[in-house]
Parts: sequence; C-alpha cells; structure tokens
Amino acid sequence: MQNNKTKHVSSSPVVHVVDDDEAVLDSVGMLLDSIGLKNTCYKDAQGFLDSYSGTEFDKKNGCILLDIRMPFMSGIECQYRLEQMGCRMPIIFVTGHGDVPTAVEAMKNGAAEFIQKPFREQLLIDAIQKALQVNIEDQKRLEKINQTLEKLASLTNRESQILKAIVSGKANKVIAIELHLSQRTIEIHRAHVMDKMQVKSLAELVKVVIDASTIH
Amino acid sequence: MPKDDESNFFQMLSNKPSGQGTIKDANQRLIALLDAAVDALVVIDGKGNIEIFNSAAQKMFGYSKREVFGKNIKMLMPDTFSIEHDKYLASYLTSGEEKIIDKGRKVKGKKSNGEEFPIFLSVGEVKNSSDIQFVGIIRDISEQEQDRIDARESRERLSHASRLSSMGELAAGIAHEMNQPLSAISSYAQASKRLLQSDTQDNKLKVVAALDKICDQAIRASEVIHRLRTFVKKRVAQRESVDLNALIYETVNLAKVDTRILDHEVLLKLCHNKKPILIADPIQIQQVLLNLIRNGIDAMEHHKGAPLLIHSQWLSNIKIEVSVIDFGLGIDQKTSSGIFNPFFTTKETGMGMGLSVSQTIIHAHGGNIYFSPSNHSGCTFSFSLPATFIRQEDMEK
Amino acid sequence: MILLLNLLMLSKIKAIEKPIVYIVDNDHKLLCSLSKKLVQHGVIVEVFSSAEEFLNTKLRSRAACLIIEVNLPNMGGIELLEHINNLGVRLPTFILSSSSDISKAVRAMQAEAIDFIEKPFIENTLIEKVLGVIKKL
Repeated sequence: MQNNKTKHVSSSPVVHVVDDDEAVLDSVGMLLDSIGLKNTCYKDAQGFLDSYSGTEFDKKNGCILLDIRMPFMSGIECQYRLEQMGCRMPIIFVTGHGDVPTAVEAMKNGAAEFIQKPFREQLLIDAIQKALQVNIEDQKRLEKINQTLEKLASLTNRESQILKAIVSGKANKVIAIELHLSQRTIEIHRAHVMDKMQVKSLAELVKVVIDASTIH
Repeated sequence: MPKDDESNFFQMLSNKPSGQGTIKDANQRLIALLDAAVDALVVIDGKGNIEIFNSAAQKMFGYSKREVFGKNIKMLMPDTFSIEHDKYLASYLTSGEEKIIDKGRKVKGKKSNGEEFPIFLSVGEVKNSSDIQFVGIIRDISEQEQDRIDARESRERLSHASRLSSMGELAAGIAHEMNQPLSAISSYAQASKRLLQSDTQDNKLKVVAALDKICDQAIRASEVIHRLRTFVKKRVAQRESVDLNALIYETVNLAKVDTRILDHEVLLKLCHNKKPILIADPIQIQQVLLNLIRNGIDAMEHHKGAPLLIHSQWLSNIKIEVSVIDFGLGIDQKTSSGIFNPFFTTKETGMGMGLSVSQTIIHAHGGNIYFSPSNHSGCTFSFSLPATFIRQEDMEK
Repeated sequence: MILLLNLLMLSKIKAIEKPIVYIVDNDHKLLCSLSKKLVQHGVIVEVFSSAEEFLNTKLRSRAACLIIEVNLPNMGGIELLEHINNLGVRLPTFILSSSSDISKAVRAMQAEAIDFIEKPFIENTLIEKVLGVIKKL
C-alpha cells in the first residue's frame, strides 16, 4: 500500500485508488497529487477491504476509484463486499476492460460512475468532485438522521405515543379521546414533543420523522 | 456362434433318433435356425466357396441363396479386402496361423449393388466336419460407424471454432493490455502539465520522472503488439500440407454460422485442374479467409441480394491467389491508407484487429495481402501464398 | 342518448383501467413485435418513432412503463429520458440500444433507467421484465 502524503488535514477528502496495474496506480496517484487531492493506493481489493474501517473512513469525506479486472477479487465483488460492510462511500469504476452488461450491473449496484481507460483526465476529476460532493451531502443527511433518532430516544413513552398520533394527522381532540386523557394534557405533551424534537411546525416534524425512517 | 455350441448343435442333430425324422428334416431345422439369426451367417469351404448363406446374409448383401451358392466369398468383399482374404486363407491352411480366425475384425463388405459398407466379422472353423469349413458371422456396423464419424466431426468443428475464437480472444486481451499503458501515459502527461503550472524545482524533478515513466509505458505498449506477432509465428510452426480448395469450402460452411451470409449467394470459382496445396497452418489461413468473408458481408449489409465471390487463381507456378469480391460500397481514399493498421475500423462494432492480424498471418506464411477497387462497385480483397499443385490427371492415376 | 353516452364512458373507463406502455423506437419491426406481445398480456401499447413525437403526446394517468431506443432520428433516447426527468415525470424506463456504448449505458443508469439492454435481445425476457414492473404499480 503506497501512501501519497500531502498535508494531512482531517477534513480534507481522501480518494482511495484500487488497481492491480502498478503504472496505472502510480500515474493516477501522481495526477491526484497534482490537483491536491489526498489519496491512498492499493494494489488489490483485499488490501483495501482490510484497511477499510467504517468508523475511520466514513468520518472523512472520500470516494473510491475501483478497477474491475483484478486478480483474486474483482471490482464488482469488492463493491458487493463494501455494501455488505455498510460502506456508503461513492464508488467510481475505472477500467480498461469494459462491456455494457458489466457497466450496467455496476451502476445498478450503486456505482456513481463508470469510466473507461484511457480516460480524459477532466472526466475523472469531474466524477471525483461530484462524488465527493454527493458524499458530503450524504454524510450531513446521515448526521441529521442520527440526531433525530437520538431525540426520538429521549421521548417518554407517552410522548412517543402522542408523536405517532400527531404525525398521522390526528387532531388533539381525537387523540384525547383515544388515549382517555384531557385535551389540555395532550396539548402539554405536544408542546414537549415539539420542544424535544426541536421543530417549529407539524410539517417540519413530519419531515424529520420520515427522513429518519428512510434509513432502514 | 462360439464353437462349443456349434459342435453340440451338430451332435444334437446327428444324435436325433431316426424315428424322429430324416436327415432332410434335420437340414431344414438347421436352415430354420440359421434363418432366425439376426446376424448374417455364411459358411464356406476350404477354397472359400459359399455353402450356407442365411436369410440375414441375403438381406444384408442383397443376394439370394442361389446367386451365391458355390461362388467364392470374395464376391461379398471389396477388391482390396478380397486379396487379403485369399492370403489369410492360404496362410491359415498352411501354417495354422490365425489372422482372423477366432478373433473379430472390422472390415468392409460389398453389396450386390456394389455399395461398400463397414462390417464386423468373426470367423470360426468347423472342426468336426470331414471337409474343411469356416463359419463367418457378420454384423452390419454402418450405423455405429456413421455415429462415430458424426461425433468426431462435431468434435473437430468445436475445436476448430474454439481455436478461431481464441484468436478473437487474443485480440480482446491485447486491446485490454494496451489500455493500461495508454491510460498511464495519459495520466502522467496530464499530471505533468499541472505540475508545470507552478514552476518549482521540486515539480520539475517530478515531471522529469513522469516523462521517464511515459517512455517506459510506451515500450510496454509496443511489447504487447510484439507478443501478438510472436504468438502468430509460433503457431505458424504447426504447418501441414493443406488442400486449399477444401479449406475454402470448409470456411464457407463455417461462415454460415454468421447468418447474414444467407442473405447473399456465395459463388466460388476455384482452380480444380491444378489443385493448390499449401504448407501452412490451416487454422490461421481459415482465420484470414473468414475475416475477408465477414468484411465482404459487412460491406454489403445494405445490398441484400448481392453475391459474394471467392476466386482463386495461379499468379505463377508457385504462387496462388485467393480473392474475396464483394459488391458493397467500396473503399474511399481516406479509409484506404490505414486499413491494415491495428484498431482501424469504420464499423460501429468491432475492434479493427481483423485485417491487422490477417496481414501478420499472411506475411508469416511468406505471402501478401492487398485490396483493389473493383470495376463494379465494391471491393476485392486478395491474399497470395506460396503453393504447389497437383494436376487433376495425376490424382486420377 | 344518455344510454349511448353512458356506454361510451364505460368503454373509456375500461380502456383507462389497462396499463399503458409507451415505446419510442424507429425500428418498425420491433415496435410491431413488442406491441403484439404486450397487448396479449392485457396492456395498451402506444408507439412512437421519434422523441419529438413522444413529447408531443399527452401522458395518460395509466402510463405504467416506458421503453426507449438510444438511437433516435433527432433527440437521442437518453436525452429524452433526461428531459422527462427534468419535467418531473417519473416513469419506470427501459433503454434499448442498437450500439454497444458503455458511456451511454452509464448515462442511462445515472438517469435512473431500470435497465439498459443491448440489441439483439430476447424479446420475451424484456416482456417479462416490463410486466413485472407494471405489476408493482
């Protein structure tokens, strides 16, 4: 595993390059260096998977450049494994060996891009920039969802009950009748829920709850 | 019929109490038994003259009993075998040496209409009779032989096809291997451009290193092509004597796998008087011809009724030329200059390796490949190869 | 008169109940062949030989599936898909291609096509996939 060291800033994105061809690996590394993109290079998929650690890699912004035809483990197999491991980093396939069915399969399995060698550098750079952007937005979304889940966990049982009822569009009066509580009690709980969930309107509440549920 | 049963049988017959029937009855029982047998049964005397000829034999060879009784068994054999048979008989009678007795053999029989067919023959000597007699049991194995031939032919076709496709795979592999160094060259060059934008000493050194690597990768790419030529030359070592006309027929049949050939009539005009014989690798010559045929068909994609012509002619006493003539769109000036280069193609699909590989093969065989526009629309692709000939008259001698 | 109108409405309603598959391809033989097979499965098929022709038509509410060929006379098939995506239309789409072009395949999948199928292909396999998609709706 080669390490192309540029300035290590924890927030700067890292491009992980996986290719069994030494010259390709070296030249892509050099290209990324010349743009100022930090990168790490791996000669085989297993090496990359071994280095991959969800906690470390996913904290930073990054993406993966993956070859397809490699000994022992192909790029497609590696993509599958990464998905199993819960990796959310965008994958850009860069391959000298391509046919339509392979490309379609790679895309169906969630690849961000599929580039053929030799490639115009701008194409690769654009794809990387786009992937990094998508990754940042994805990470932000995930962060928000985690916060929502934490907030949901902080609700009492009663508050959870009432949240469910509110989100399904029931009026306070109706909830009061269903739960055998006074309308006044419902209003108080409701205020607590809105407070704990840190939302200002019913619409906002519904949105954050739905967003949180899409992750599963 | 093994000898033991035979002797028991005759004993049984001769032991029959006279009260139960005459010898004539016994004879008729024998005939009935023999006629019930599925295999052909023939009994001959020491000179080879036929004494018994059961109904299976009559059916098999197409003769009635009357037509064969007393005649020599040689009439049931093709000439080549009959000479052998006399020898066997003679040597057995003098030396007791068994060449065919007691063992089975695959030989050929000849029917009344002259048709030769494969048979399995086993012969036994009738030991107890006062005269010398031999019993032959004959089985018609035409069907099994045909099955064997069919199986072998389809095996050969399969291996043929796979050998041809392996050259296609070779081309694909080469293309892939070229992509790697080319990709590296491109990335090094682009990186260098960017590095030169900030003119530091450090960057200059990096650029020099990159340029070195570019040179290395260029050599690597050329080695890939070099390996193709070596591969082709290695195969050329597997040379044999090839009947070119037969090869051409075979290739046209192989080309029928590409169904578009059915849209066009394929007309052949080959040299039959002076049959060209090549010393070549037949698979590779086929590869070239197949490539030209496919190109001709492709050129005529929009001219469905047009024929494809394959002609051969002698350019000299030692050089034969094969031409594939199509009636398609023809080739323009611009296209013509790069046509034998690798990766050159005007087709949407296809990698453009066909003519380049074909050229390599023909050159390795000491020939030439070229094309010329025809005086009609379309194109003529030809290759010439060193060859010798057999005159038709010489063959028939 | 009212009876007639009622009958007309009834037949229109019946027609609306069947899902509609749109096919945009200028290969006439293929259009006929696919249409015949789909109609046999109780699907209405509308065919177009160019992107423009398709864009000039109003999409019905029972529109269930879209099949587009990459190589069309003017606007290309993938451009068409990207265009209708921009218009906010979300139709399950299959892309067919008479030329094997990886970059087009990738673009198609990025434009959220369900599948990208090279020609020649086995028609029945496509029909099955289309029916599968319609059932899910």
